[in-house]
Amino acid sequence: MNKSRKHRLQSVLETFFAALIVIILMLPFYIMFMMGTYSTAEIFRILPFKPGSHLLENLKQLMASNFLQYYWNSTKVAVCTTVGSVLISTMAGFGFAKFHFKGKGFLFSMVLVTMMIPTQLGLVAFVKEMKVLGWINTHLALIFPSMAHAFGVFWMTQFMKDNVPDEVLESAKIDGCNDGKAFIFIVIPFVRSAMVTLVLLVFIASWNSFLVPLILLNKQEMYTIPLGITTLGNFFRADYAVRIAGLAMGTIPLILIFALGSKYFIKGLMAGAVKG
Amino acid sequence: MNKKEKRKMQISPYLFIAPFFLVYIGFNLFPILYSFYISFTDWDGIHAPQFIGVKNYIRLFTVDPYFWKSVLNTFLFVAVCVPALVFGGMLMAVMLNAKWVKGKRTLQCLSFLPYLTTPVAIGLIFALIFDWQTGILNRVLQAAGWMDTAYDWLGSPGTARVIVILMVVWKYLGYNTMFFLSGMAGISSDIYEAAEIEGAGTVQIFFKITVPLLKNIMVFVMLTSIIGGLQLLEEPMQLFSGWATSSTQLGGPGSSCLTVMWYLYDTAFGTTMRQGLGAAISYSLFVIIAVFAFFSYRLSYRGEDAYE
Repeated sequence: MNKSRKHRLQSVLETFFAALIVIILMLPFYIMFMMGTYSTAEIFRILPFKPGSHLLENLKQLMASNFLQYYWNSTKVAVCTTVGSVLISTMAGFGFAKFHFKGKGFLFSMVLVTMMIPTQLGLVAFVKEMKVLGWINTHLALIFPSMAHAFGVFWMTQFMKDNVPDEVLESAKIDGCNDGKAFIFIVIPFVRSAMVTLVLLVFIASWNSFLVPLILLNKQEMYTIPLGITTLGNFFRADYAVRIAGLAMGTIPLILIFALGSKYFIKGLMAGAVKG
Repeated sequence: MNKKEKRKMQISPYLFIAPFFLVYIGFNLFPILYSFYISFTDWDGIHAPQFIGVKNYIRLFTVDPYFWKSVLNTFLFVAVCVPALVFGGMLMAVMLNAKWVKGKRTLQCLSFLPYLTTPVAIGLIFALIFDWQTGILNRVLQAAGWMDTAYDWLGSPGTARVIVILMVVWKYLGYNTMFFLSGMAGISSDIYEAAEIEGAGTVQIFFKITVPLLKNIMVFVMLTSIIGGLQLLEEPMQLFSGWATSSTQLGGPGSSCLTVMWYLYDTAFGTTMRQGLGAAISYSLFVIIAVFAFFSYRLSYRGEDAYE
């Protein structure tokens, strides 16, 4: 009796502190969604703690701009990048985790080193390369180069070492299953949760990416959401309320896919991270 | 049959890793090497590059007004944010994972939300919070009677830096917490129970059990945070690109928030198009880090040697 009371008190306290920190973390996020329902004048006057009445007005303004085009562009880029990157990483993970071959040690340490080198080191030449290829102002330039994801390869390799049993692969081979088939029908089902983890990480990074699109895109109809938002409003007066509403709208797909994937995301992280 | 089997075994692993290496070599490694050459040239991105030897580097290390400033700012941000993220993330994971917390999963997911926010939004929101005349913070403080005259948080170098640090910690804390949570799930609860029976306190359990068992994850989070921190650019740039700052100085007040990446962007693609100098900026940072890493490795190695 006494003990359960003590536990209840502890539970209340622990929940209170954990919730308090989460609420503080959520505050700027909450402010973003509240400000999206204000007019620009109100943003500078009213403290944004409860919703305003300008949401429809802001959305109407957004629709009148190129916002839907930006949305479509972002979706296209993020989906293509994610599919390509996760597939390439999973394939490479399979190669590294389940085969012995010449040069494996060297090639894998190359992956590790790549994780440690900031990609921006090659930024200047990358832009030049895109110019030569004629990929400036194309989405191809945002999609294709980001498919080589060293962290994804590292992650998948670690995950497969622990979670894909060798016996299953061997018995499949004895039954006459080739490596390609084994990859699709045996390996992928085993690593689904790690793939979801990677899907979320790559999708978020691609959706929010700003610097590379900023340098490579200069036609409005090609802009992605973060880039497009910074141009909303007219030349003399930036419409901050509409911008914030747009940014809030732009966050919703990420919240949705995170909500859908969070169960697998945490599971995938757990299974892969035990070894660090 | 045996021979054929063997040959097949040889080829397929290469086929599986080939797509990664093709894209990697074509779009990462090649630009990195090519940038190295560009860093020895004077080039506006349009005309043919002029080879000028190490002049760019000499300029950066001796006369350039912004370079050292941006390096020191970047190091300062890394030096503050990385420990905050590593220890803060671990502490938060412990709190969110505490035995009696209700609604763990919901709290864990909510703490991840800042990571979903695009840097453009983060910059805008923080500018709206900390703005001098119209910012939320000043209005709240004044309404509560805790402050008489509005303070220009974004206008003074010290507080501007603090705000950038807050932005970074805010965005990545929940993200790093996830990694620690996943590591903690791998620690058997038997260990904790045994420690509790032995009479270990919460603090003791944290330092003697949780921290050592999470060492791998700590290293991972630390390395990714350092790499991420060295590339810091979008958040400070967005913070000072709005209406909030009337000053046109590069990198916020007194260039106090100018990071190396921001300076690189501004030099090569922003106010000037000096791409050779831009490439030299990124390589200089790389060299500084490499030298730094080499000496800290040598020092720690010697330290270990002395004990043996």
